[in-house]
Amino acid sequence: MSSELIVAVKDVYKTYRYGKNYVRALKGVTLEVVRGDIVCLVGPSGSGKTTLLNIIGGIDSPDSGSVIVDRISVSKLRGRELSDYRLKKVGYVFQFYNLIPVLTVAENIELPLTLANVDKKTREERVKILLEAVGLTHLASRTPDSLSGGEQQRVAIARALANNPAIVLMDEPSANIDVENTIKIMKLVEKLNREIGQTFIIATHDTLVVKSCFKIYRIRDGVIIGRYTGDDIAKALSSEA
Amino acid sequence: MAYRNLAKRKLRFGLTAAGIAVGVALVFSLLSITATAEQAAIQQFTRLVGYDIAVFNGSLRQGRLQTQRQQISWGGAIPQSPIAEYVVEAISSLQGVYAVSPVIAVRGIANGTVVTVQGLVPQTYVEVVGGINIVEGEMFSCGNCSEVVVGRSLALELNATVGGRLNLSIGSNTSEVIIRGVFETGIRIQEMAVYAPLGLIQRLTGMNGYVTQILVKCRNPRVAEAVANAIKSVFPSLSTISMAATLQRVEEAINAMTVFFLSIGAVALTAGGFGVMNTMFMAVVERTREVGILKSIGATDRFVFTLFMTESILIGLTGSLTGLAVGVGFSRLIPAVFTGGVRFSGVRNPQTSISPRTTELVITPEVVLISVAIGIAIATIAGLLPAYRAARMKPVEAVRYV
Ligand SMILES: Nc1ncnc2c1ncn2[C@@H]1O[C@H](COP(=O)(O)OP(=O)(O)OP(=O)(O)O)[C@@H](O)[C@H]1O
Ligand SMILES: [Mg+2]
Repeated sequence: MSSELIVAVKDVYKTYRYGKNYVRALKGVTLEVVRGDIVCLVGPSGSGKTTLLNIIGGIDSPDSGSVIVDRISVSKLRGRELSDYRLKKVGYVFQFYNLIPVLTVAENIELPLTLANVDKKTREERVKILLEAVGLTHLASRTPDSLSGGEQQRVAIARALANNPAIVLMDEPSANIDVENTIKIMKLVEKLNREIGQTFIIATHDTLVVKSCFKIYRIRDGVIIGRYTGDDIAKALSSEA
Repeated sequence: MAYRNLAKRKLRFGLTAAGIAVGVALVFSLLSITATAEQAAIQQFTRLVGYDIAVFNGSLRQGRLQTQRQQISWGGAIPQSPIAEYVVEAISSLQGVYAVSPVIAVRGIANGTVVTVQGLVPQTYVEVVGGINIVEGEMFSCGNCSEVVVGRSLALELNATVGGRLNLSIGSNTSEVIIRGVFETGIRIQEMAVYAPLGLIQRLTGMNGYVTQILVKCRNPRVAEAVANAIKSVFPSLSTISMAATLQRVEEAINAMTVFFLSIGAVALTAGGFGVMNTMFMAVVERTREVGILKSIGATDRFVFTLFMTESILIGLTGSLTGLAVGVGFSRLIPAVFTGGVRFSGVRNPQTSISPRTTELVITPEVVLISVAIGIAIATIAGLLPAYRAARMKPVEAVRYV
């Protein structure tokens, strides 16, 4: 596997303010992801995982520091460029309620392609392939509210992959689904990683999810407190417990 | 997508659209009412008078002048102060005058029925009023003989026919006259009349050398005011009533009515607009998360803006078309109102009794377009702010929202 750097987050700070209170969500985070990796961000609630994913995904901006994804300096993007970055470079799978309720499964997956002005024929072919990849061809014309949490999550993954993004971000993918579905989802992640070399960055505190990761970053109070690969992962997790 | 979002909340969509529909229906009906009223007024006017200026003896007091106006409309039924016949010649030599016709209009009795009697000179009268519609027999052609034509309504009432005789009394003088023809104007009150040679009526009224009205037709209706002023400057004691001025007053009144009605419609539409705004703000708030997801996966501000605008416009379109349908239905009732106000005699054959002639409902393409356009425009304007707010939503905050 190549070791091309696809994500480089350097010294990122982010402070939220509400009224007179400040929350320092990220306090100098530096992190690197190599193309083809499955990287996990592990840490307790409120440690800054979602904030970091949002900043990488271009839906939030850091107060200082730099974020480079696929050679694009994300923190410098504005307006249409930023929309374009979200559309083409990033696939985002949220914790829940990922899908547009009035669109069918197939239409939800097609949406990023439509936004990217892909022609109808290519869109249809692509949707077909994606539905097969996540094993939901039989649900193509259903609406999201008639799907289980795990199925919805798989639709969201298919949608995230639509425009062949450089990275797929997943925020707590197992939070709202049972063990069986979590295993299914992670099998899918591993398969996509293996077959198309898709890079994933996953925020989680679920050991079942962590099992699939090549690398984990431990984060606490907005600071990276550890970086583990291979056998260290198990050790790190047991020390956590 | 916009359509499905609306379809999902049918009741709210329907109610909001109904708000617009009420406004559009109102605007449409009110505009149709004024258009119909305008047409009805103009129709009646042109049917009643063909001349541009009526000249009276100006020694009449202001109060009488008011009744005078009434008299022209109804054909002039009350004896008026006399005007010397030589004035006719003088007026016809004025610039811009096309034809001049002297008339004596008095009340008389024909076989016991009260009628309007018009003494006139057929040749000039026809030139001035644009013709007399003789439907049976023919017009008398003499200037002084005992021949008359009668209105159809009168003929029916008296059971009189062409060739028959009539006892015509004015004041204490009576003369037996022969009916040469029957005329029709379509307006009953005008048809309760006898047209007779001017000389005969001058004799019966004892007004030899005098007339009561002089009707003037100008070469161009636009010079009517100037001609009227010229007449007044030559004969300061005479007063004139110009039809153009009267028509203008009618139109002014109708315009005032239009403005008033439109303001009522505007109030209704404003309410409908706020309804749309309220619904759309609700939709934006409810769908905050949806907006967040759309933006997070790469939708531009413009896409989100267009999405919500499309919904507002769809509401406007649905409301406007519904309102139009309701308005058209409602407007069908309008002509009945106008017909009820004025009785027309539309008798086509003597066997049937009098049937009212209906005023046609006026639906102009302008009125249709204006009301629909206003409805859509209001919904569009009302949708701007909510759509803008949705477009400007920050994705981070929107995805945090559940
Ligand atoms: N918009 C915001 N306004 C105020 N504070 C915020 C905002 N977003 C995040 N925070 C705060 O920043 C900190 C980090 O939040 P973040 O959501 O990144 O944590 P997390 O690791 O994802 O937690 P969890 O596991 O609960 O999802 C928290 O203390 C949170 O309250
Ligand atoms: Mg989180």
